[in-house]
Amino acid sequence: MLLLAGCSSSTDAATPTGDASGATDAAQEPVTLEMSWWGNDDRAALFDQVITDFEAKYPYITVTQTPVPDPDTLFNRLATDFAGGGDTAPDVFALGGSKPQEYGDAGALLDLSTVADTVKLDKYPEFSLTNATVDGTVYGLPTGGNATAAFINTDLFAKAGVDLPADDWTWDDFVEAANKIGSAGLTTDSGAPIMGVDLRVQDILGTYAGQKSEYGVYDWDGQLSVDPSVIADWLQIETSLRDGGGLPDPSVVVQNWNVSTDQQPYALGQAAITFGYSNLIGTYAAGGTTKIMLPPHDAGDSTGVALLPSAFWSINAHSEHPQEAALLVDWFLNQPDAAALILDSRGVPFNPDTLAVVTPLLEGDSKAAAEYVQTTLDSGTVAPPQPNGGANMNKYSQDAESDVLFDKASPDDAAKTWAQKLSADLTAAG
Amino acid sequence: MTATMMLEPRVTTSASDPRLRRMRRRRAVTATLRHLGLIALAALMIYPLVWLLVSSFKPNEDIFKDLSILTTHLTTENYTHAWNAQQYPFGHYLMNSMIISGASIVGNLISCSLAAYSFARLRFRGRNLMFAAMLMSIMLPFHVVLVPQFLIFKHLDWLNTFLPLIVPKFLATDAFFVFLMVQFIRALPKEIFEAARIDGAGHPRMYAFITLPLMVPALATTAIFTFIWTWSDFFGPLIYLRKPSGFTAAIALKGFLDSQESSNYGSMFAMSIVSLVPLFVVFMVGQRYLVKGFATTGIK
Amino acid sequence: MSSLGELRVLAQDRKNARAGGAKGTRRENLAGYLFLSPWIVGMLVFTIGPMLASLYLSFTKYNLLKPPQWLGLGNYTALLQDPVLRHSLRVTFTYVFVGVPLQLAVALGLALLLDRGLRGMAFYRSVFYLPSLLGGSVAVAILWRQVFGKNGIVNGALALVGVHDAPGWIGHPDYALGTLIILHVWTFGSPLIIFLAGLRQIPEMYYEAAEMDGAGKLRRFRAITIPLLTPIIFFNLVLQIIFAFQSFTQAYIVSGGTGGPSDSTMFYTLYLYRKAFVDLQMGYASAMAWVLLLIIGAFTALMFWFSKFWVFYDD
Repeated sequence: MLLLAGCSSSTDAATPTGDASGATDAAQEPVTLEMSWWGNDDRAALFDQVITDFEAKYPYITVTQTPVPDPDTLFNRLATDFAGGGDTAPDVFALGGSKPQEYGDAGALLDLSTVADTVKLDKYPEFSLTNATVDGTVYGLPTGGNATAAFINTDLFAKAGVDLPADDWTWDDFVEAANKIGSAGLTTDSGAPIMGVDLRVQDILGTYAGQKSEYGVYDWDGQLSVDPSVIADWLQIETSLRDGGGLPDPSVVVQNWNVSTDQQPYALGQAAITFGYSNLIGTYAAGGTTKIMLPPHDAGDSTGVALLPSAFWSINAHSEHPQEAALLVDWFLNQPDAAALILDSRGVPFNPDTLAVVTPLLEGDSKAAAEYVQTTLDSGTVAPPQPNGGANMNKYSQDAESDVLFDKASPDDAAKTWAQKLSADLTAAG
Repeated sequence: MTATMMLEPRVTTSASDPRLRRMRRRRAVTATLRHLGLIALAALMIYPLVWLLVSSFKPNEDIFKDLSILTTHLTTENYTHAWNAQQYPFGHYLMNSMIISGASIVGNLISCSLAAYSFARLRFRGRNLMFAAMLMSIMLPFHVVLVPQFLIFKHLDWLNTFLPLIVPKFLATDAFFVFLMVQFIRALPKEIFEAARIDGAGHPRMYAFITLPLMVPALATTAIFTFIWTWSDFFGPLIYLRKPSGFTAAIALKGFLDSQESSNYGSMFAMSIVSLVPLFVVFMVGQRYLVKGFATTGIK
Repeated sequence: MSSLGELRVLAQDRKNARAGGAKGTRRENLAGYLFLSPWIVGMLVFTIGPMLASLYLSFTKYNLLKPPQWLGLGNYTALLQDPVLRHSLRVTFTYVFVGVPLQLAVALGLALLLDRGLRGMAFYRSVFYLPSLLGGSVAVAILWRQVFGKNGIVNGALALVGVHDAPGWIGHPDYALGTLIILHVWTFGSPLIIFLAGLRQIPEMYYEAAEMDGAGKLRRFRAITIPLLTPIIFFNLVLQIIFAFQSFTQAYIVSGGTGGPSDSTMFYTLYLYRKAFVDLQMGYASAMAWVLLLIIGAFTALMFWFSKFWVFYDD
């Protein structure tokens, strides 16, 4: 096996230290790698460029992309592959949520320390790797980070005659502003009513929990950490929004739970406030002039906002070409040529060297998002990763929300049910 | 037997002229009412498709901002962009779908009709048990047999080929169509088979020259449904055809989507319309055979 | 060459065969297996194995990633105490027993209407079938939100007749299942086509004979059309019930895979899917699958037994 470490540590794109690879080309057997991820044809086209450059640098490697539209589809396919022994799974693939933990724990992923000469881990802040670390072993590298943010449509605030919120706005300020705008009777040009807040409970509950309890929803042992009363308080906020007109009819809230970002009311210019990940700013800005800011937080609380990896690149433990697969991951994450193409589309890079390449190239909304992420990074808030058994949290939060908004349960009861179901799942998985 | 059941009553209809005219008028009125009702229903049924069609000509960012189908700002850009937006031209994926669907139709028509003839017309040991087993095979939700089936195809080394999607069709694994044909064969008048038997026809001849021509509507139904179902199947191709060169149109369509961020709905709708065209053509051709059953074949 | 004697022998053969139930002559046995041989191979290679595998898995704890561990009846006893499972059964039963009869009634009614040589029949047939062509496409979810959403077409129509405070049907826990049932009825194209094919296969000579004998329209309908169509009605009923019990795609698409709001569209197979691929409990999911098979099997057996009293076979 040839060591290809020499070419991966380069931070200087102009003078590749690729002599090693160039010299060994003749001796190299051709290698084909399969790479899988979720996203649309735009991303496929972008990655195609990245891969073309990669293949030019390593002529003996051919990379086939097998993209899918959504994470679930990819995970279903991977689960089938792993059940069949894993040798049919792609060499390199994207993972998210608690998948790096589940797959890593089951031995389906390559221990990245075995290819540490090829793909450098040491530049990554420790917290950015926790989601992909099982018992001290790292199974994936983050593509970049995002942080939950509030998005404010300043056009609509002006239209409703409501002052823009201050940076230290509280939850009461938020409810007041949302209710005012939601009750103002505004409509869009095509006649759609304008709502105060376009709310998806799963996008903000974790942040709220982070503000009101020590660790957030989970602690570092993967157990439930948040007290049900915090969840009940949140549901109480939602009822004041419902009663005050800040939220649209509950059936509309439910209807928008699982729609993709570009179909969400905020992105269509039909809502004044929403919460979401910072990297979505481009999509949200389609709805009107958008300001990104910290979510509301009460005096004395932390902001609850932590920088979270948007996705991980992992390598199949059964890959026949782990070294080449590692080269590919390194190319996507640590090489300046690729970084200049990918920019922040997979989150703001965690590797400071890559970030240094990306930052000057960002413009407009992306720049604002990157700055927002930087403040979060500077604040040093770190959240425990989603543990095994946490896969249903979003669903349980939605259940609790609809039970409360439709008056089928009190906030207290719904919060208790939420905690019961989630801790039962965590216990079963742990 | 039906033939005898309807022999008894003899109503004489000696219609005089005015009565006949009245009847004709009444008939015209009911026909008009019927058409009005059907057209209203048709409008209800077709609205979504019209919306899809109109949206495929809208600029992507307008699609969800203005949901109306009455719009003036139309463009063909979605079509021109989408056709070449992916790794291969969309025609490549259409061709893959066409090969799989075409082969599946042939497979289902042959294998299911053979099995159905056997179940419907032959008495053999274990028939009822096998029939029950066949029905049971479609009662199990496919999610739990997915992994074991995947293992079989993997060991056969059929991954990345069309074989996992086609070969089972030649082995009558679609119980739906077997059962459908069984019901059609059993509804055929038994005199025909008796007559053929008397003429000395064996089972192969009775199958090929009597049963098949008589069940053209059922065969057309099978062909239409097979085409539509394999054409729009997503999970099977996703698991077995892993390389973009082998992707079907159904998979390629989802390549325009990104469930998390922004999608190219305009492109997706445009190519949806494009990939609905073959479906529609097959349906239009196939349905013509729905009217050609017994009625025109005729028996003496 | 035929003779009366031969005919009698043949008739006797048939009678014997029927009296003996599934037992047949050696010749028929052989012919039966030969005709069935592709099916037998397919069954042995592609169907039986995976079915037995899932049965085995239903007695294990299996997360797809690690080898299954034997659990005995553990999954089955857990099933009995699972409130979500009970709830999903309730949702599924409602869907099956409201949706299927409604859909079949619409399909049969239209098939009979369209069969009567109406002008423009091909047009109607195509238009009515179009929704079924869309099937499980993503567009359906988008469309359904537009039709049954808060500002959807249905509420637009209601506003015209003075109802202004209607909720968004698709997002309301009390009505979301109803919209899925309507979606099911809306795709009546498949049973419609099968009914039409069945109607087309009824020999014209029966009608001609009856007309010569002076049977009226209604009488011909009741004495010929309906009896000869019963095998097809039966087929549609059995298959649509089987399919409806397994209904998955539409609920998955419309609810974004969650079964919400408040589990109101949590179909049995949707829950099963979540168990298998979201919670990675394939053993539990397999047990669920076999329980569903027993339920569907029981209903199917009941329908087959009951079919003796109303389904007319000419054999």
